Amino acid sequence: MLCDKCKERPATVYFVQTINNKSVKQHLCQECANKAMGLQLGLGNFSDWLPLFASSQESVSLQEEKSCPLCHTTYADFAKSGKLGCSQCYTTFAKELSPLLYRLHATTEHRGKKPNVVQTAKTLQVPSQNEAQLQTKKLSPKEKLQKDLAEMVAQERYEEAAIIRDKIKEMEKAGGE
Amino acid sequence: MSESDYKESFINSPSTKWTEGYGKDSDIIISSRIRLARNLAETPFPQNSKPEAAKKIIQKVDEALSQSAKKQYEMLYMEDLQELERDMLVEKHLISPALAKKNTAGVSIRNDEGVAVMVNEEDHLRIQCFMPALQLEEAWNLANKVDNLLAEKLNFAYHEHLGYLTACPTNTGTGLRASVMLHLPLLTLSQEIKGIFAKVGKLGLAVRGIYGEESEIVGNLYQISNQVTLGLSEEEIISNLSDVVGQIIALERKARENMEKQYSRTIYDKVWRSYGIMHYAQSMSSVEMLSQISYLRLGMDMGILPNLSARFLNEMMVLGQPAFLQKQSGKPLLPEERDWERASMIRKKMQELER
Ligand SMILES: [Zn+2]
Ligand SMILES: [Zn+2]
Repeated sequence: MLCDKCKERPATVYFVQTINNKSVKQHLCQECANKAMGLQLGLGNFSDWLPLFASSQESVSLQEEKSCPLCHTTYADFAKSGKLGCSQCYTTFAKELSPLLYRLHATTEHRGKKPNVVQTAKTLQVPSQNEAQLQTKKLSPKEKLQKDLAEMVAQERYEEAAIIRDKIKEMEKAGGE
Repeated sequence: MSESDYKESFINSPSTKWTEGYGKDSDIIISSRIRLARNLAETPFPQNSKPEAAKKIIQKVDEALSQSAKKQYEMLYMEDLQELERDMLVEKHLISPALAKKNTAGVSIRNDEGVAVMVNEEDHLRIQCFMPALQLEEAWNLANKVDNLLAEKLNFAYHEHLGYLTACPTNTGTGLRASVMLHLPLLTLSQEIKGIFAKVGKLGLAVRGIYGEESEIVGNLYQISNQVTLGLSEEEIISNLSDVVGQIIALERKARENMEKQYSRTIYDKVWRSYGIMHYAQSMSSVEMLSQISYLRLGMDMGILPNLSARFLNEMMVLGQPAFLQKQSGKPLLPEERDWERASMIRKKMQELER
């Protein structure tokens, strides 16, 4: 569960506040709980968060219109609900999710169980019309770059990721899709 | 038992796997739970799925479980259950409050109630395994088996680098939430608990009350679980949690020993007073019930009340919840009426002990 307030960090504190005789119950992360209790964050602490905050702001405004091809969730939807719409969203919003996942788990690399069966069922499965369309749809150059970017970020190859991101930005400036 | 008998007991009986009350460190640990979040590939998550699609998913899971595990599982569709029955499943911890609110959801329960697979909650599947006392590894081994079994029939959303993909990024990776329910009366009394939990928080673990995420701390019962799900193996997550839990157990035991040395008469008095109240009270709130049960539990663990069992107290805890009380009395009850009904249930249970 994500923090009710910032939707960025896991909620670890169950916070009950009484305002005008009404009790407001929230699940908050430690930071938001500290703020809600009027505790001052140390200056050093606060500046640690600034860069992250700035980059997430930027990515939201850049990607406001992008939506997931499978479930049509936008990043704004996710920012509001804290829930992704489908597994494809992880690819669609790879760039935005990577820092968030890093903040939550301090890594972006899974080290646990892998599905252990090579499934015969998987290859036999007939995709629905919708899925079939998705699979055959050719990626535009920009989508291709976005996919590469997601991969680089997932592999924590940040230098290469930065180069790809610049390419995407140039492409956007040029006005082409 | 026949199919309908199982359904009947899933809902109506207060006894379930985790209430059994025996096992490692059962003087402090009430139960252990493992939950694995899984989703079907290329299918919108439950929040975005249409009712017909949601129903198909329940059927798929039902098929996968019943084909692979010869009649050990029964699927309950929420739409077939009354609100009261759903709430009773919540009170037994077999389903989450969120699942109970969804008509398009279901839960497949293994006959011994050691496994309950929730379908269409926040994720398509939430495989849950329950064990009494401290048995995290056992619960994980079981969950792992159920997961493998399901993976033979279902194509789970999995990413090479991110692992299992979940609706909320707090669960991505292993999708694993391991949790333990602890009874810590003395650490609570001495207020040491606050310092301990501040430290626990820094280790990536979370502390909550016992009835799910909404609950405040009552009855000296706490639930500790992992927060980080990505970047660690399942075994590492479980052993990290076990280590911390082990340290807390040692502290609580030490506090109990010290208390017994210094204040044994105070404790005796407190425990026997609770015993008396539980025998004769005419009205009791659920918060009071849980704190009286806490004294009885302590009395039992310290050998003051040898005729009690953890199972007896755990079942009383479930029977004293609102939906169980209303089922028992056969009609809806106002909170005040519930307090009378609860006290009456407790008196009856306590009389069983005198026989
Ligand atoms: Zn927050
Ligand atoms: Zn999506």
